[in-house]
Amino acid sequence: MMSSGSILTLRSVSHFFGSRLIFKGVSCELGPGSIMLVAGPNGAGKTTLLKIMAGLTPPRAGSVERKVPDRAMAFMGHQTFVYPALSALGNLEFWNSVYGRGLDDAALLGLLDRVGLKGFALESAGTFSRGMAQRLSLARVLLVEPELLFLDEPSTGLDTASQALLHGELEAARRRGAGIVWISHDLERDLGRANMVLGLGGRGMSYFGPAQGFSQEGQ
Amino acid sequence: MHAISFTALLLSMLAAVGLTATAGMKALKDDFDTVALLEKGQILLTVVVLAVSAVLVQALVVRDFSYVYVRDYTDIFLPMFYAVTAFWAGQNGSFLFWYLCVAVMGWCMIYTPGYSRLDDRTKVYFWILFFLVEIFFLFALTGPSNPFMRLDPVPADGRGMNPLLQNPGMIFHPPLLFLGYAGYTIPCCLALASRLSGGNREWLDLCRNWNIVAWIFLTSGIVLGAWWAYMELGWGGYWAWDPVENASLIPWLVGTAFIHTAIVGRTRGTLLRTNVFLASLTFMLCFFATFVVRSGLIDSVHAFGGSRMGVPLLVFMIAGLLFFLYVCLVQRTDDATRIDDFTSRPGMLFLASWLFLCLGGIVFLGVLWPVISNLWSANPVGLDAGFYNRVCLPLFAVLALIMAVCPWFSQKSGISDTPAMGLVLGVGVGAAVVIYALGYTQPLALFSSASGFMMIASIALYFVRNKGARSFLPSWGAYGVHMGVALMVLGVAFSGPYKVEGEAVLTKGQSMNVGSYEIVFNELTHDHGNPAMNSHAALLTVSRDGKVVGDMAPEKRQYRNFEQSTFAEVAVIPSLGEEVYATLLGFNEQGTVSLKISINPLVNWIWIGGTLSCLIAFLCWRKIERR
Amino acid sequence: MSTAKNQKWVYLAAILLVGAGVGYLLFSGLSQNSVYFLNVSEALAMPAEKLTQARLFGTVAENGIEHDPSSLGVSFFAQDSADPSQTIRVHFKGAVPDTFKAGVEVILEGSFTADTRVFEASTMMTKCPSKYEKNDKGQMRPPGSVG
Repeated sequence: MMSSGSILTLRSVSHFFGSRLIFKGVSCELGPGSIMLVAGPNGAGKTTLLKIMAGLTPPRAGSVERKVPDRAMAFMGHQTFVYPALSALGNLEFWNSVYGRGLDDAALLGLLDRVGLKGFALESAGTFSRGMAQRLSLARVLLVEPELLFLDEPSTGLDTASQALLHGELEAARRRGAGIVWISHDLERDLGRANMVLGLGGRGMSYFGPAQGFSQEGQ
Repeated sequence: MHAISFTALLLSMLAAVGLTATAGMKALKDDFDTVALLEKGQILLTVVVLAVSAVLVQALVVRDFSYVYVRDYTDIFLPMFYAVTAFWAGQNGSFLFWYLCVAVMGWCMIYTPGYSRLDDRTKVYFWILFFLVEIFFLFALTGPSNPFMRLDPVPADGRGMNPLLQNPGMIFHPPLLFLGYAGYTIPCCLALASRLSGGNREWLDLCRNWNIVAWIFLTSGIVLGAWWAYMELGWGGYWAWDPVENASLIPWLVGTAFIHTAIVGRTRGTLLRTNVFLASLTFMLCFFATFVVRSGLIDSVHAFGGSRMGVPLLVFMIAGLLFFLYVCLVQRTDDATRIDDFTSRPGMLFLASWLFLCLGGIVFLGVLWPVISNLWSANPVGLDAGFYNRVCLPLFAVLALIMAVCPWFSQKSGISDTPAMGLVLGVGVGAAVVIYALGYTQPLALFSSASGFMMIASIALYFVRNKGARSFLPSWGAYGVHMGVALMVLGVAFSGPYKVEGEAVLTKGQSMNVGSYEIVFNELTHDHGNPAMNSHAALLTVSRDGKVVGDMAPEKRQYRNFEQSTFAEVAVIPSLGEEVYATLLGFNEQGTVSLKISINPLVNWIWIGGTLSCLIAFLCWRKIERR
Repeated sequence: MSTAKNQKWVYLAAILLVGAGVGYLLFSGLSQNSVYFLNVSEALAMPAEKLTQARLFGTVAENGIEHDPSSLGVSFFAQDSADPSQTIRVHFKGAVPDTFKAGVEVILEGSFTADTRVFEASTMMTKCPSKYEKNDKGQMRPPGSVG
C-alpha cells in the first residue's frame, strides 16, 4: 500500500515515555500536495506523534522515512520559537540565514505584510501577544516555503481574521505541492480541508484513510 | 465460618490460659514435668491459627463480603494478588498475621537443636512466657481486633484497597515488620526463662540464629518502607522522621545494640544482665511501635486514629516492662564482672552498642515529645525532621567510623594491626580530600562519606589479610552486612544534603531547569482505557548539556473507589549516580501542568546496600549441635 | 587490680564524652527544631514573642481563598475547628494538594511573621473530609466502622 510518491512514511511506529506506552503500530504515508489531519481524543499523544514524524524524537520502535531535506521542513507547535530580544524583522533575518533562504529585507517585509505584522516590523517581539507571536511564527514558516509542514494546533490563540489567513496560506502551500500534517482541535471546521485523516486513540491507530470516510467518535 | 473461627480462637485462648496456669502452679512446687504438655499445647495453638488464617484467606480470595474485614479492604475489581495480601492491610488482619508468625515460630522452636539443649526448667519457663504473649494476641483477636466480624445483609461490593497499598513495596512492608516483631519474641522469652531458671549463659548461643532472622526481617521491612515512601509518595524523600516511621526504628536500634552486646556476652562472658535486658526491651518496643501507630496518642499525618487496641497494648507493655525489670534486677545470678580494655574489640562493640541505645533513646524521646512537653507547656511541642537529622546523623556517622576501625583492634587490648589501621585511616583522609575537591564541602557529608569509604576499605582489607575470616562463612555474613551498611551510609550521606529540587508550572512545550538538567514538557496524555482507574501523564524529556538523558511520564491517577483523591505515580530515570525524579503535582483543562523535579544523588545505593545486608546476613547462621 | 580500675575510668570518660556530645546535639536540636503544635485559637492566644515555628491545625474558611495562577501557592483563612470565628491568614508557597478546598482540615508547618495574624506556611497537608475518619494506612472509612 506504500506508494513510491510519498514524502513521509511511517511503518509500525511505537513510542514509550519511560515505561508508559503512548501508542503502538502507527503506520501511514503522506504524498505531496496532500493534507493529513491527525485526530483523536484529548491527550492521546498527537503532539508526540507529530514530533516523531518531524524527526524531533526518534521512535522507540518502527521507522520514519522522509524524502524531503531538513531545510525544506517546517514545524509550527505550541512554542513559537520567537526570540523576544529581537524585533519581528530581526527574527525573520535570523531564520533567513539559518535556513539559507537568501531573501533581502524587502522580501522579508513582504512576508510580514502577508501576516499583517508589517506595522510591527521593528518592534521587539517580546512585547507581542500570543496571537501576534503565532503570526510571526507563520511568517517563519512561509519564509521557508516548506515541502513538508507540521502543525500542532496552529489556530490556538489566533483571532478569526488570522485563522482565515492561516488557512489561506496552508491551502496555497498545498497547491504548491507541499505535504502537510496537521493536528487540529476543531475537527468540524477542519475535516473538510483535509485529504487524509490519521486517527489516534486507545494507545494506537484507530483510523488511517480518506477524510470522507472518517467519522468522528465521541470524546 | 465466622462464628466457628471466632470460637476456635476463643477456645485456644482458654486452653492456653489453662496450660499456663497448670504449668505455673506446678513450677511453684518445683515440678517441671509439664514440658511435653506445653509443647503439645503450642502445636494445638499453631494448628488452630493456621486453620483460621486459611478461612480468612479463602474469604478474601472469593471476596466473601459477609466478612467486615473483606468488605473493608477489597472489592470485585481488585487483582487477586492484592486481595490475598489484604490479609494484613488492616489492623485486625495484621494482628492475626503477627500472632500467626509468633505461633509458627514457637512451633518451629520445638524442633530446633537449640531448644533441645535446654533443661526442663528453662523450657517450662520459656513456654509459660511464650504462652502469655500468645494469650495477649488471642485476647486481642477475640475482642478489640476481631477479623471475623460478620455483616448482615451481605453487601454486593467492598470498599476496595487504598491505591497507596497496591504496590509491591507496601504489600511486603507490613509482613516483614511483623515477622521481625514476632521473631524477637523468642530471644526475649528465652532470655527471661534462662534467668528465672538459674542464669545459664547458653541462651545467647541458642537464640543467636533467631536474633539474626528477626533482625533481617525488621531491617528489610524498614528499608522496604523507605523505598516505598520514595517511589510512591512523590515527595522525593525516603524518611520523614514521622512518628510512624520512628516507631519501627526504635526496636531496630535497640535490637542492633543487642546483637553487638550479645557478641561481647558470648565471647567474653560478660554483660549477662545487659543482654537479658536488651532482649526484653527490643521485644517490648515492638509493641510500643504498634501502640504509637494505633493508639492515637501521637498526632501524625499518617496517624491511624484511636483504636480500641490502645489501652490493651498499654497495659500489656507496662506489665511486661515491670516483669522483665524484676527479672533483670532482682533475680540473682552469677555475673562475671570482667571489664575489657576500652581500646579493644569488645570495647568498641560496647561503645557502638551505647551509641545505638542513645539513638534509640533519642528517637523514643522525640516521638513522645508532644506528650512529654505537655507537662510544662500548655501547648504540646513537637520536633520536626530537622531535629532528628541534626541529632541522629552525626551519631550514625560516628558509628560508621567505629565500624571502620573496630576490626583492627585486638580482642584483648590495643591495636592488633597498626599498618592496616593506618591504611584505613589514610583512605578516610584521602576520600575526604577528594570529595572536598569535587565540591562537596558540607562537613557532615564529608565526615560520613569518608567514614563510609573507610568501612569499605576496612572490610576489604580485613578479608584480604585474614585467611581465617575468608574460610569461615559466618564472617562473610557479618562483614557482608557491614559492607551493605557502608553502601547505605554513602547513599544517605550524599542524597540528603546534595539533593536538588525544583517546582514549576509549565505549558505545552515549555521547559524547566533543575540542577544541571533541562526538563521539557511535551504534552499531557489521558488514558481512560482501564476500568479500575483513569490515568493522566505528563510526557517529559530530560537533557543534560544538550544531550538527551531519557524520558519520563509521571502520572496522576483516579481510582474507581477512591474518587476523592488523586494518586501520584512517580517517574524516575534511575541511576547509580544522579537519579532524576519527577512528580506530576497537578494539571488543568488547558493542559498546563505543575511539576516537581528532584535530582537525588546516590540514592539507589541505599536500596542496594539494604538488600545486600539483609540477604547476606543469612550467612551469619551457625550450626548448633543437638544434645 | 589497677588495670581494671584504669579501664573503668576510661569507660566512664568515654561514656561521659558520648553523653556530652549527645547532650549538645540534643540541646541544639531541641532549641532550634522545636515546633509548637497549635490550634488556631491557641495560636491567637499566645504572646507574639513566643511564636516562631509552629505546626498549625485548622480548617479552610469559605471566603478569602486566593490562588496565584502564575506560581504555586494559595492564600486563605484558617479557622479554628471548634470556634470558626477565630481565623488566621495563611500564605502558602508550594504545590497545593488536590484535596484542598473550603471546609477541609489542614495541618500547616511554617512560621509566623512579625504580625502574628499572618502565617507563612512551607508545608500543607490536608486531612480527609470529615465524612470519613482515617484508620489503618490512611484509608477513609465512615466514623464508627470496625477495623
